[in-house]
Amino acid sequence: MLVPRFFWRPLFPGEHDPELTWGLVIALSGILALGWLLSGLPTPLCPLHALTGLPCPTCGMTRGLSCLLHGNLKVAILFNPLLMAILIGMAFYLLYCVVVVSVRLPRLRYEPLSKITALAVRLGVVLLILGNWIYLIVREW
Amino acid sequence: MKGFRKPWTLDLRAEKRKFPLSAFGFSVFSLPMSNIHIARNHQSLGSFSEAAVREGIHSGRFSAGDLAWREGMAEWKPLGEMAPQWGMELPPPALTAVSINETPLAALPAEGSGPAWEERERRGFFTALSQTIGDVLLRPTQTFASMKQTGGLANPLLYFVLLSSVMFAVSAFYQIVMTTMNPALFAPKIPHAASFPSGSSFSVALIGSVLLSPALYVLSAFISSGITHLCLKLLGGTNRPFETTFRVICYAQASAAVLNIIPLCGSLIGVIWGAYAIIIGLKEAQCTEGWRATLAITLPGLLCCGLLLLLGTAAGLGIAELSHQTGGGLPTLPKLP
Repeated sequence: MLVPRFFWRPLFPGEHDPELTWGLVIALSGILALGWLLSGLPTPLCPLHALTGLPCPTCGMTRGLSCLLHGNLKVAILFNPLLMAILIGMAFYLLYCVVVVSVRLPRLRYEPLSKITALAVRLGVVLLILGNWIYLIVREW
Repeated sequence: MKGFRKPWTLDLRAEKRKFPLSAFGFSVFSLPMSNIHIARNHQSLGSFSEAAVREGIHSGRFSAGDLAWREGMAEWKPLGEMAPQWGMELPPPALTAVSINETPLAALPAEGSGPAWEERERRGFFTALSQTIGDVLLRPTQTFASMKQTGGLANPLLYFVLLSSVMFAVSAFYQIVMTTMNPALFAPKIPHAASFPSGSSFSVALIGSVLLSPALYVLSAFISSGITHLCLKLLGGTNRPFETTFRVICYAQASAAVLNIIPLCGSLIGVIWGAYAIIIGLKEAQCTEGWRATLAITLPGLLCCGLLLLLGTAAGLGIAELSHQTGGGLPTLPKLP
């Protein structure tokens, strides 16, 4: 099967609850990051950018997050499209976690991927990171 | 609500009855037959085709006490209860299972009982602690090969938070002593360094961060394990669940943090030794190759050009900035001779 098959299944008795764990981790990390940004504490400089003038694949995250907090989604995406997509995805995942944990709903899972699909996913992730990085470098120039 | 069907209670057999074979010889409602999921001892054994479960039952790989679930069921039920409904007969029970989609569990080494930390009630707190530190740092291969791959997140998390927080406090103490003795050399290099108040309010900020550190270490344990597990998964090196990676990261990083007790160069030695212990741990516990384990822990750093370095720098700058902002307004520590 090339396309991953998703389904909803209940947790079995005694199963570790990933939605609870990761929901908490994302929420607390978000609070920490917001606290850091809003308190005006200094943000780190990119050593690669400082040394070579080239941005690293995660450059623009702080600026993007700041824009996101000010409601400027378009500019936030321009700073680092991939990371902003991941952040927005995490926000949706957090929402999903809150709903399924609080209402005790079954959880979204997928059947193990076939070898071809797994390879395609890996290649896709590598290409996404490389493509995003190339965009950042081109934009910088 | 009448007529509303929850997606997780979709009855595939009923749906198929509603959509019989069409005149063209194929099913209009062509959902593939769902796999059967099996769990035992609070751990998922994977998902299996009906044929694989039938074969597993006959060969003794699955037992009547195993929990089973497939799409359409609202909850997990014992395989012994469900098998007859799925047209399977149950011979005497057995112990191992083989997944059709992942590395066969039977091919993986059996779970061990270590590390010593998880037997601290029997061994004693300090004996178990020191033995675990020694085992992880000096005998990582044997330690992680015999480590329990499951058993909950609480034990490794407690070990990680306890040791890391104490060692952070030790490092902070060294930093305070050195900054007080020679601010020009050891004070963080920040724009306000000229007005740096000779280690006093900096010390207060540092002590504050020591008090906050347990909470931050809890987050750090999950984030670093999550990123490592994700990278390992991308590299095709995960044969065990996230819990196994979490246990390796917690035991390896916390044990290596003990090296912070060596002044000045201890943290650097700890980082290198910790990375070595994590690679060995992932290789043994996840039953993967060394290169995958090595790449899994270096990939995030390579992508973020030293994520840890950045976080460390940010934390250092943050503490220094806090100390500058609070300078003069907070009680100061006595200057050391």
